[in-house]
Amino acid sequence: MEELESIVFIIDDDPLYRASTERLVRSVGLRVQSFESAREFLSSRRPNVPSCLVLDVRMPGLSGLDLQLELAKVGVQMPIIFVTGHGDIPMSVQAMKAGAVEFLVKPFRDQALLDAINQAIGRDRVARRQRVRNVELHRRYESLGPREREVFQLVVSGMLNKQIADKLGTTERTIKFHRGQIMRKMEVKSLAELVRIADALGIAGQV
Amino acid sequence: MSGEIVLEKLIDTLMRTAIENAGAERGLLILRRGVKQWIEAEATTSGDTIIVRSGEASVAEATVPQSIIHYVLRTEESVILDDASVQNPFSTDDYIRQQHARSVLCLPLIKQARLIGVLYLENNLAPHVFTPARIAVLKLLASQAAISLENTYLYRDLEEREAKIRRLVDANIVGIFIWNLDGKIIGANEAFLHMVGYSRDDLASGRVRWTDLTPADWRDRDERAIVEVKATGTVQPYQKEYIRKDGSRVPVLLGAAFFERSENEGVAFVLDLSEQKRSEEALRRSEEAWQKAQAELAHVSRVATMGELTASIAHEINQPLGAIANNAQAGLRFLATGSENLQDVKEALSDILKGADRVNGIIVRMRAMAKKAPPEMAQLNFKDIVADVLIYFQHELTRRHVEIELQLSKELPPVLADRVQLQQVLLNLVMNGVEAMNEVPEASRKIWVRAQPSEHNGSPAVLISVQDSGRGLKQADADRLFEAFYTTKSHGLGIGLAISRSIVEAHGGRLWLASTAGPGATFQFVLPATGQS
Repeated sequence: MEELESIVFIIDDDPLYRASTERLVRSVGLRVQSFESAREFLSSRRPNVPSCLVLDVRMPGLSGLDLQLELAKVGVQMPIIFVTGHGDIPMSVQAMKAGAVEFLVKPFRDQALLDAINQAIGRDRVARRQRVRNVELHRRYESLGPREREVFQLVVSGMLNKQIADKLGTTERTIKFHRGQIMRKMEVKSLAELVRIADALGIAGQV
Repeated sequence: MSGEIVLEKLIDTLMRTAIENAGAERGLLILRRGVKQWIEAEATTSGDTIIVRSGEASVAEATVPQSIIHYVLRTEESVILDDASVQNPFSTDDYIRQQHARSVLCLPLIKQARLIGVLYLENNLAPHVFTPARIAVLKLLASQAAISLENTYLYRDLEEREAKIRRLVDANIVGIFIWNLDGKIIGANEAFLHMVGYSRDDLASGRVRWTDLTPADWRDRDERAIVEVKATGTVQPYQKEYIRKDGSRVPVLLGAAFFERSENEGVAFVLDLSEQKRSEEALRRSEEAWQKAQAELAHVSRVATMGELTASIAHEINQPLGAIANNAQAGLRFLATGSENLQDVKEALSDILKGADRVNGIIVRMRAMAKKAPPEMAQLNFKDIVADVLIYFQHELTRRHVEIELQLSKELPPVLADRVQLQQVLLNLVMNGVEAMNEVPEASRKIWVRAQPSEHNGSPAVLISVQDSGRGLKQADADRLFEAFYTTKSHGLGIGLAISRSIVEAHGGRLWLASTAGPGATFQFVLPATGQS
């Protein structure tokens, strides 16, 4: 069900080539939406589903690389597969640095493109899941009180309750209580889980 | 004795006799020459001697009784005034009044009912000098004189004409021969003999016949000339060839005419065209060589430009090829997944055909560009030329971040041109523009191609301009730009503009640098429209 939901965007100014890519992608059962120019793509309403973008780099007007920067600026995180008539090394380096998942030079095997698309969509799906989870974790973290957050940070840094109590000038018993509250609010059962979440939220484990 | 001397003697005798017999003081022999009358001789008496001078004065300018002489010329009747000092029809004549003429006699000289002149006699001393008896003698003398004079003149004219022809024949400026319709050459001058390489002995032996001198492939033309001379008496000059004695051929210009009152014999004038043919041939050869070199150079330049654009051309071919491959793969997959996708398969196949057509179109155009072919003039719309050229450029332009703007008028009249050559001109100009912008920031690299109806030498034409946004040109460069092998680029042959200009000029148009002022340079060319649409 999730497979059907995903979509492949294609931007290519050559109508014949664009149609052929579109058809190829459709032939493996993927949903496709194609655009003549980067501008057209940017101004379109796009479904919020796992997706990737197949982009011809050297188009007149807003070029592929320009679009990549533009997307990053407006916060659209979408794996991009660059397709080009003849790629040179500086261009591909630039593209990959900016987050391209693949850089295909024409002529390429159809399977290469399809593999790249599958991989890109898979990556986007994970990233989306990750983003959703991050939002949830943030929500949980937000529910912690200031003292709890302090204790959280010290716990995931590997300090014992007694050490934390000494550091914060309180009793080991109080720390134990805070710790219980943190485990409950963050919905975890083990310290290991808590450490992973801290990692995902970017909470430094160092003191 | 020449006719000249005969004539002088005759006139002298005539004048002396007239004066002696008539008792005249002064006598004039006036003869018609064309429409004018000339005083041929004047005789005056001085004591007992008679002086005869040959005159060369026009009657109109001479001291003579104009009215009397004109009366006689007009009426062909004699005028006799016994005493001109008394009232008479010619009393008002200036001469009669001033000279106080007394006896005047003016006789027409008539031969075969045709007036050939006038004999005028006068005596200013005595009236009634010209008595009837004297007049009778004078009339007889006058009629004898008329006959003799006319004959002498005819003889002299004939002699003069003959002498002229002889001079012409002997001058050997042109070849001349006398021929008859049987094929015989009756006479010929040195020039003609030299032309055909025969000697005078050959001619004398009668072995040289004009029919034999003519090669078989020219006999038909000669036949037509014979028909013409029989019908009109002359043959309009025509070019043919003769076979020389050594077997080689000589190109000639031949004109001929029958002799008067002859229907078998005539004269022919022959001009040797060897030298002319040789120089014509040399001219044609050098022109051919020049054109060949020009075409060669144009081809080299074209191929060089195409070489610079290989990446772009490869891309243009790769696009449809890639589309074909994608469509074929998609079609196979659709077929593999079931029959409900037949419509997709159909569309894929039809796009494959489109792709193949596109590749084919590009290859046909490229082959035409790379080929060395003679120009083929056809009616073209300049828009198609732009479309052709963009195939080579589209990719190159995007690669170099050059924006191209086309401003092509909708009402462009067609031009008569060779497609490939015209493509080459536009290709050169756009390529130059692109290269002129290498140091311009990417965001402001732009080329404008404009085409609009215009006029050239007062006739409808198409004006095309190519402008870039580069730095423009230095005046020093602008002055030498159209010279072959002059270039402002770090690479390149420097023949693009020279070739473009010669192509445009060969099409009856003009190519020039319209502006060096910013932004960039503007080149323009104008091509005459064909008139039909």
